[in-house]
Amino acid sequence: MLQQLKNHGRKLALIFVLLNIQILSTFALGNSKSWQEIDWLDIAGEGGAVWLCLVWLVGVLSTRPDGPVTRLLFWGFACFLIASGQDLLDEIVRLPEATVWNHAVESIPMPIGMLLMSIGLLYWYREQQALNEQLRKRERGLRDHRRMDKITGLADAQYLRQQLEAELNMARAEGLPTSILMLDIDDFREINRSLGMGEGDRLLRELTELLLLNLRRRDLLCRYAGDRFAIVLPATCQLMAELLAQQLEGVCKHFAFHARNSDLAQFHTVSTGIATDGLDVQLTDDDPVEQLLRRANYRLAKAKEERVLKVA
Amino acid sequence: MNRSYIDLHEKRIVAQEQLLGVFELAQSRSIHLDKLLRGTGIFAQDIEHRKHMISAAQLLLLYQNARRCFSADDCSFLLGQYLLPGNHPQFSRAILASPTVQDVFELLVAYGSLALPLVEFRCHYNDQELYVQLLSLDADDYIHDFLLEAVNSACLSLCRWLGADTRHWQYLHAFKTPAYREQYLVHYGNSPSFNTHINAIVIPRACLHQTLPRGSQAQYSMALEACADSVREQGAVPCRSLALLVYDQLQRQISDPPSLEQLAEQFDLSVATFKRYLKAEGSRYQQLLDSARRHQAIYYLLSGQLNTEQIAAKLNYHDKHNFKRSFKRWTGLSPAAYFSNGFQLK
Repeated sequence: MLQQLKNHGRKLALIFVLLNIQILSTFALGNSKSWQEIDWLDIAGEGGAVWLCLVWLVGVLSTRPDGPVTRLLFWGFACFLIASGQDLLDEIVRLPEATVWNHAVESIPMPIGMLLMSIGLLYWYREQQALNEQLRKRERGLRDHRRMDKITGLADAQYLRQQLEAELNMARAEGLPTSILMLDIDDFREINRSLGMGEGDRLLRELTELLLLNLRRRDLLCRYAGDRFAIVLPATCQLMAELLAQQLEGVCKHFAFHARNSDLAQFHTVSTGIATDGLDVQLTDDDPVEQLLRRANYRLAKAKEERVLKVA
Repeated sequence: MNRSYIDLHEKRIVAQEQLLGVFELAQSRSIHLDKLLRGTGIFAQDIEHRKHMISAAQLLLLYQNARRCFSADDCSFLLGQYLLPGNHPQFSRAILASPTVQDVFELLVAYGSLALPLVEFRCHYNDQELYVQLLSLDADDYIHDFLLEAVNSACLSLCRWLGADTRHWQYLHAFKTPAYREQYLVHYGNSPSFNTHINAIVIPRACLHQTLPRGSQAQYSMALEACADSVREQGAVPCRSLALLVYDQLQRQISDPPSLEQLAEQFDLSVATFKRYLKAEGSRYQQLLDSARRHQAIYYLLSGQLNTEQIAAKLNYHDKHNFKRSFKRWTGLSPAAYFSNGFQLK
């Protein structure tokens, strides 16, 4: 949070200076009211508004990188802050009857702030759409940050089960097949042992990007556990899933992984296992999600065994 | 008098050897050490001094912190990969030179506490398998899921690294099925049985005698002697809790278990002090006796050597009905239901 705020130092300094000028000039030109004249209800209400504006402003800056959306939101909140700040100051300071500027400061920034905020929110909406497009293959329809894996940024097995269940219900209603593909790096433990866990994590991250690039728009990639990925393939029959699995195996085989301090690329093979529900294979009704996952895992284990035999 | 047991708060564990793996893992996951060490009484600089010691209780606290800080379901399994061969010079030399899987586990039984001070191993052989039972220091099977996951995957990943075929190993866990069961599948290679009221690894005989490509009998025996020397230097068997000693005593004499009073006398303690010491370690006499009987009963049941009547006789029950009642109290199942409930080994 602090790290993010450091990027916005100039904005924070600016609003600090503006508020100070406002407070100092109001106190310099007017006289403070006596205790009897102060309406404490107004102070509480308007003070609360000022306080919340300040909290939101810092909140926006601390969660967002710089950019047009951030700037618009910042200036919107800044206008609110100055207008409501003047309102609050008027409650405790009496300015001479003839002064006009305090009324101007109270009323003009408010609509400007509203306008800036509205444009900012519109841009935010567009930005979010762009981000959603990027996240499409990582999350489908449901966002739950607690179910996100820290290393790859993918959703975890629990999220996978939720999504798979929803997908199966929908697909069965429409009579479409659903496939699941399990993918596992061969001898990943050796990589962890020889290069260290940091490099193993990096391989997982890079492989995640590679897989995302090679999936269709409607597929969902999850990190199942360890070095095993699970991919939900909606409206995909067994034949198509097998084809996709072969493609992914091919892509991973040709992926050059550069370990730290090494110019030589390393190549890794992956094994896959698929399971399909629908069309010719219909799973029984009790817990189809678990059944599907179990089948895919079983096929993956078989594929691994065959690979070991082939090498031997 | 030379005591044969230690207090869990006695500082007897070499800090450097135990902290290295955890620190490395924390670093690779960018976890701040202050957060990881909070409340444990261990400091980041403890790792710099060869002589610095920590206690078993502190190490347990550290693992609890690790579980919270890493907030990933695979933390225990990854930590396990750092635990063996470990950093004890003689022990790690011995384990890396093990000629067979059997030697790996014999070494763990004898000197495992040099590398894994929080867990003890017990081996039981029968015609088809080797049962490696895992016991925590307080002999409680149910609460140490994190520790047991770590130790299990430590043994497993070490044996795999040494070139052993681990596909036919089976795992029994006392605790309930956790939400992250897929982690077990991927890290263990096959799913363990949960809710079995015992923590054990079951290895088929055929896998035990497979020669490991890097093993060397001469190096192994040499390192084994060096291990014995280093234990002798420390004065006693390191880090063996009173609870475990009592458990062992009870298990040895399971057909005629000594009473609380007899045990107290054996350890040269008054009954009240004996009880208090056990309580400080989180156990009680009755609990330990139940554990010893339960483990023995389960072992006999699973290995299929004895029928219910014979087991009842072995465990000093008047008849099999009494035994069945006790078994139901321990596991919630009758012996027959337990045996047929998917826990029988494939």
